[in-house]
Amino acid sequence: MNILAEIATKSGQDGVDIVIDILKDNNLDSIEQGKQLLEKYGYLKNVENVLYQQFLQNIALTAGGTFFLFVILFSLLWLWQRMILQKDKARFSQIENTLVNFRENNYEVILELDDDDEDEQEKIKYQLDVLGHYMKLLKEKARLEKEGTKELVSDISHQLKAPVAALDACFSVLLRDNLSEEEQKEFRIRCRNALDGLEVLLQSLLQISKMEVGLIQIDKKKLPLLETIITAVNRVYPNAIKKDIELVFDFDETLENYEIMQDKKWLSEALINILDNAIKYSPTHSEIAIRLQKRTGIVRIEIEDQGIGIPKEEYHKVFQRFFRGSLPEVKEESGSGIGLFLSREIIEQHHGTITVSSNFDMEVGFNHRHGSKFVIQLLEKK
Amino acid sequence: MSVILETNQLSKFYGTNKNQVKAVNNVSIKINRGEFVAIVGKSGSGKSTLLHMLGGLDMPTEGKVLLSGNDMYQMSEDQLAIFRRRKIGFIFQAYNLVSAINVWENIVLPLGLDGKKVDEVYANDIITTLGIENRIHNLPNTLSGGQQQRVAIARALITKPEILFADEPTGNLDSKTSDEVIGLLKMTAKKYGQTIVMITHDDQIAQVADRILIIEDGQVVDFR
Repeated sequence: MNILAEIATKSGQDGVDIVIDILKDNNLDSIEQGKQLLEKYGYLKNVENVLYQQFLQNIALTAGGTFFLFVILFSLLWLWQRMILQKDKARFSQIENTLVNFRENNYEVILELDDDDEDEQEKIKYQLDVLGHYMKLLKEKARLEKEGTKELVSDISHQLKAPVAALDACFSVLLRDNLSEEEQKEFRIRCRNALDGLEVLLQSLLQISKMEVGLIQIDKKKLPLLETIITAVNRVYPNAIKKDIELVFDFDETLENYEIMQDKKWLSEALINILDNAIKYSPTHSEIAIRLQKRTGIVRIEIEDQGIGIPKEEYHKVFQRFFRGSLPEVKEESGSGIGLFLSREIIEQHHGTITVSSNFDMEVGFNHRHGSKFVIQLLEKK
Repeated sequence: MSVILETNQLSKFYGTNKNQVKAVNNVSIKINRGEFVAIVGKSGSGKSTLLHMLGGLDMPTEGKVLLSGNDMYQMSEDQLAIFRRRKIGFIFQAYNLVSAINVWENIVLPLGLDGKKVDEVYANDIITTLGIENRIHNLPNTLSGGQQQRVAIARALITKPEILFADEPTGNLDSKTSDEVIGLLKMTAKKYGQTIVMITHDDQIAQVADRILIIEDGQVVDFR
């Protein structure tokens, strides 16, 4: 339109007519004329223009440059991608190797990470680590169980040696001809005692081996705790009567029907062992308190006697297999050092805890009754 | 047993020459995975210093601490901080709960720090086991000491750490509540296969452990 206006002004009436014709588009000659006009003003022939050539060159250069840059960028991208892929590939094969190693009992995680690695990769490495440790633990556990059984067998044979030797000695003496009536009687009694001791030991060993070898599985059911305690108390009651020991049972009435997950038979066995000990190491005419309490999240059972007590250094040890206290009173009594060990095992299998405390070191002095207090805690059933 | 934590001639000295105090002196111990170990000693025996070094909180003068094979004091500060956050849980005598946020927020706080999602099933399981399910919307200050320590136990367990360190966890509690908290600590640890190292001066509390180390004048003198 600008061109048309220019033509109109510069060419006078002629031009105006042409413009009108062009605009009206009714005369093809005028188009030709227009073309000539345009040529005359240099609008069409600028192809040969210097600037135009330069312009073309510029276009070519820019296009070429862009293409070149594009190619470089693309190849860089491609290379980078390939590098990442290769790194990933290396990682995956490392993970694969780790898993193969796991199967071959080598629990080391081979996974090399760079500093700029994502958290996700680190987490995978961590999880692999944890898995490896877990598998190692399982294997170790299996091995220990096997070894534990071996150890138990050797422990048992060792424990049996002493009473069998005593019995043997007794019989050898009895078999002599030159014994007086009185001596014969004495050694017969000794034989009897040794045999009794052996029987007690055998029974405990039988129990413990069942427990250890896993023949007896703790089979937990939801049952009233009170009944379990009463069962245990009933079992030890005759022994208590013999020594005129009073069993005082104290519990919150709300606990009468309180149920926990338990294996009634074994849990009462655990309690019997503790009560038996309490009776064994308590003086005549004393008292044993049994208290049952509900606390947040757990139930607490206390068994407190007025017996000889336990020195602080032995708190932990009394629960160990075949441990026997160092006090002279303990040595006088027969025992195998199994009862409390078994109690602890049973309670731990119930996910509970058992501890003991004593006023032993406080020199109470009253009839030398220090007393021990066993505390058993069991998880509340939710 | 597979060893999770091992120290090699670990020592911590304060002062120099004549005034030198050997807080921890040449301690080499091994702790097995899944074990509950109590370190028992009187105050000043060096047990807290030992625990801090085991937990990556205090640089030893000599010796090494290896946690699942990683030499903790060869790491940079930042690496150690991340390592601690992911692999170690702490329970302190003073509970150290954040008083401005509620119990639930306190418990899941460590996960937030690590940008992890909360495993709701696990979290609820811990909370129920510890008997604090009715308290999760309370502020810590409204809870009793025993309850606050349960919250601290839950917070320590939430990240499923490789090992849990407890520094006199029942120091501020009466004896029955102590039994209860220690019992719960042990029960939850056994349930989730957690390794625990606990420091205490209380022989009665220590019995709950699978193994007891006695420390005197910076040295482990007895194993039970």
